[in-house]
Amino acid sequence: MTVLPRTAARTERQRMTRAAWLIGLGLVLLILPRLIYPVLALDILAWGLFAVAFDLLFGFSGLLSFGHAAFWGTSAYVTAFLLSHGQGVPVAMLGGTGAALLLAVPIGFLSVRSIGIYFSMITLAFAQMISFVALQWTDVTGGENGLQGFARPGFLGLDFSDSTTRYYFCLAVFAVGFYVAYRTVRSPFGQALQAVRDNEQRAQSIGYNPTRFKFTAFLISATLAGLAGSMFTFGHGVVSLDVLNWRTSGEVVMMTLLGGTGTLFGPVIGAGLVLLLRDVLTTANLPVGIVTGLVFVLVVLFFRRGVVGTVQHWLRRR
Amino acid sequence: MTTATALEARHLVKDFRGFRATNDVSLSVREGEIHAIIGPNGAGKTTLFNLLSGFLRPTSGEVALFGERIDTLPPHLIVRRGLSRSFQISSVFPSLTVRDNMLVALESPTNLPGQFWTPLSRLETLGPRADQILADVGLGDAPDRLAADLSHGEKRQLEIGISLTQDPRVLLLDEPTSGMGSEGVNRVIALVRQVARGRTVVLVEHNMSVVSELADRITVLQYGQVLASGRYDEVRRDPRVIEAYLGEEAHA
Repeated sequence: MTVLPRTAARTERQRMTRAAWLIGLGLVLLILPRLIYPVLALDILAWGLFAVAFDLLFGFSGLLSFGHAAFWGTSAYVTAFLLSHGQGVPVAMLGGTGAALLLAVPIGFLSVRSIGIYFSMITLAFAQMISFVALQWTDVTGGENGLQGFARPGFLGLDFSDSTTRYYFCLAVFAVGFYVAYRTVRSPFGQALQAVRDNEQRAQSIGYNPTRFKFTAFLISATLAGLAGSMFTFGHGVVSLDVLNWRTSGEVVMMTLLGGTGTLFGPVIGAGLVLLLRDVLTTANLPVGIVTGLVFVLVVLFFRRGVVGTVQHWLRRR
Repeated sequence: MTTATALEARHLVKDFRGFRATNDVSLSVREGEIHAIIGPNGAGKTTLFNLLSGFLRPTSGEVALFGERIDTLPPHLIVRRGLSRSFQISSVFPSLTVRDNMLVALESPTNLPGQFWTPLSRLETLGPRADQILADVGLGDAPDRLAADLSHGEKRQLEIGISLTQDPRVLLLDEPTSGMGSEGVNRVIALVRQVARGRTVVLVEHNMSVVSELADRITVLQYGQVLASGRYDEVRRDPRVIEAYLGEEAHA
């Protein structure tokens, strides 16, 4: 029987490739605060996890959310609100993440039945509503001023006034979030989700209820986006309306496409590239929007699989 | 031997914006038989299939599977009642490998698909069954290929394999030989005959030689209506049928 050994060899090679990405990414993230300043490094973690959350939905269920800022931003605000009301960091971050999950229930319920551009537009509409609420509800959100000046009390002997400590704390949180996404994708659920994405009609004809799978994926994705948003607030110590802006939703799409959709590792790298590029351009006083936009156009035109997707494709062909 | 009715359509009507695609179709498929549905293009064969498998809701009329009404159920619940279908245009999961196409279909009735915390390797318990079905449909040597890379004929085989994973009591095959050469057609005939053992098969088919080889009974559709229904050799002698459809084939 030649079938089994070949399947085994293929699985083995895939496992090696994944392990290589994982180790490589892990090492870079471990030494990142020595390479760049810790606040930027922490930004990469937060945006990286946000992009992973987006990729979980877009790459594996085919739903392009153009309103993921709603979950990232809501969690960022709830985290800041809880911190400014004297809660500890774990409670604040879990509270923010939980708020994102709660928000995802009605939004997901109402949106996952739509497909393609309609899904994108419905999610965008909801995100704009949330953004509007945040602007108006000044008692809670601080309106145009946002929330700032809240304490980040240490716990377990960690001193969060030190940005490097904050980074490594967030790296642990990131690892948990990334593992959840990875586990979800490489599970029987993830397999069924990809089947629904590939061919919804066929999936139905073998007993899958597509709506149920998309809704579950939506909830997991929104929760992880929320976790990322709470990391963002924790990292910066301020939160402003930017986190709910539609540009935030667009940026996470760009990071994911740049790094490679459907790869999970790619979006982290995409987030890193965008943030580093922006940092360099800002320092050099160059037009950030134009250059990042140009890079994005070039990648979409010539490396449609994104950075990680292109490398993987190249490795497979060799 | 008394044969029960496996699948029954009663006075099915389907309207699309003023166009009546299915017009009062009644049909009775006996348990264990191979029943072919034939008819010229636009006769409403695929619409009828979609009505029988829940992909379309009838405007009026009923569908019953082993005596129980299924016309109000969504497709994913009809499968659970024992009716599985294939599609006219090859309908597989292109980004998955051939074997993963089997596994993802086999896991469907289990409690695994809800579990996003379970490692993928748990699906290996279904591996032997997947390999067996692949061997049955003639894809035993291609488990690792991406479904997207398969030839047209191989996709048709995989398509039937996916339907078989649900171990259906009633199997609906929508033009299983479409777009195939004579060699592929013969392979499909043998395959259908093999999978029909212990099952009821309903197939839509254009190729009359396939129908004559396989079908116990046939139903001829025209303009969304049943023109004739019965044993193959009887129906083919029906003058209306000869005029409407079989005539051309008979002269050819």
